[in-house]
Amino acid sequence: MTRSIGVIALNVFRESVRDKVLYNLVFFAIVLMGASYLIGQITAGQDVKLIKDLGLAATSIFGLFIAVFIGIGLVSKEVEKRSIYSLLAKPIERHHLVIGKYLGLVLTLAVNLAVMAAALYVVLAYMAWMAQPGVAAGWERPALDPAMLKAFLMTFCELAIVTAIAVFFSTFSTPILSAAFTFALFVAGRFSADLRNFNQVIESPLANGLTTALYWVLPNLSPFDVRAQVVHGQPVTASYMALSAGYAVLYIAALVAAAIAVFSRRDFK
Amino acid sequence: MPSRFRTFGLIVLVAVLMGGAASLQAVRETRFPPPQATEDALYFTSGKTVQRLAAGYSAIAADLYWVRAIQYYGGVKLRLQQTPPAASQALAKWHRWMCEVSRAAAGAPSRRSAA
Repeated sequence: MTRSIGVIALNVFRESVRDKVLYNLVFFAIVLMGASYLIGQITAGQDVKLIKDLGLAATSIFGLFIAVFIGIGLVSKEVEKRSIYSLLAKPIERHHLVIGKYLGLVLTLAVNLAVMAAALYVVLAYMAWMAQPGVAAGWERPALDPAMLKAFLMTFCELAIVTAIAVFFSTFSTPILSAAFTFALFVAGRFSADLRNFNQVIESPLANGLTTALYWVLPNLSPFDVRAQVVHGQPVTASYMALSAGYAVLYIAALVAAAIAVFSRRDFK
Repeated sequence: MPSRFRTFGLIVLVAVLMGGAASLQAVRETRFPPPQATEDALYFTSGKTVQRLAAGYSAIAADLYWVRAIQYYGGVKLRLQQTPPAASQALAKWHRWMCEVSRAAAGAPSRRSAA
């Protein structure tokens, strides 16, 4: 079981490399290098802070596009190309396919994030090396702040949830609809805190119950955004990260189980 | 064809996992409450900037802002209603005293001296 899942995951990674997905890393590096030069000209000693903000935001946006646009086609593409028949004829179960596809895309995202993190640290190291001692003393946090890894880790957890959403929709919907649903859930997840506060301004018990239920069922993605805290040197504790990561693991497991339930009942005749 | 029992088991598993995720979320929110907005400002100072930010969807952006403003107003009203009478009386007393001080500082006759 583990072997077949591993083989499928590795194939998804290879396929994404063949599809030139990793080219986005080149674009990311160019954006960072260009921005570091331009921002250095127009900011008053805050260029390192801006580069950190830009790098972390770009990591999240690039990762989001990879998670959505590859995730939505993972299962549906196999059905459209009819390659699902040859796949299912092999000694693999349907749930192996779903789990393997999901883990393959998560591996792709992990490699992407690791390279983007390394690129960001290289640019920041160059800026720290070039900076005047007086300017560097005014920085809120050091340029090569290891705390930024916490933001990368939380971004990875968030993107892993988005990938699970995309794979779930991919098991029963078309790629275009899956992309729309995934983006909609991503936006809802980012603003779900508003649903929680909704009961403070409405009196209808039905609407209150509905918004509260939605708040607990929809993915809560805003706690994974610790970028501002990290850049400003505010504490992000290990217990906060552990609770957030635990939430991500359980939510992903629920989505993958739901995807397996749907995919297992599909008739490909 | 997978058995119905297996599908039912998967549905139960999904429900249990979602429940677990919600419980963890509740624990996290208890231990690390979400930050509240410290600045009580809900207005834009530049209409032109807002129009650019709306990217051509100015009508729906205006509607969203209107709904948000109503929620803000309702939230403030509810909060004030929940304020204990003693506290609101103390606030009113403090407010009157501040008005007296500012009038005196400006050299204007106070209400008490005018009376």
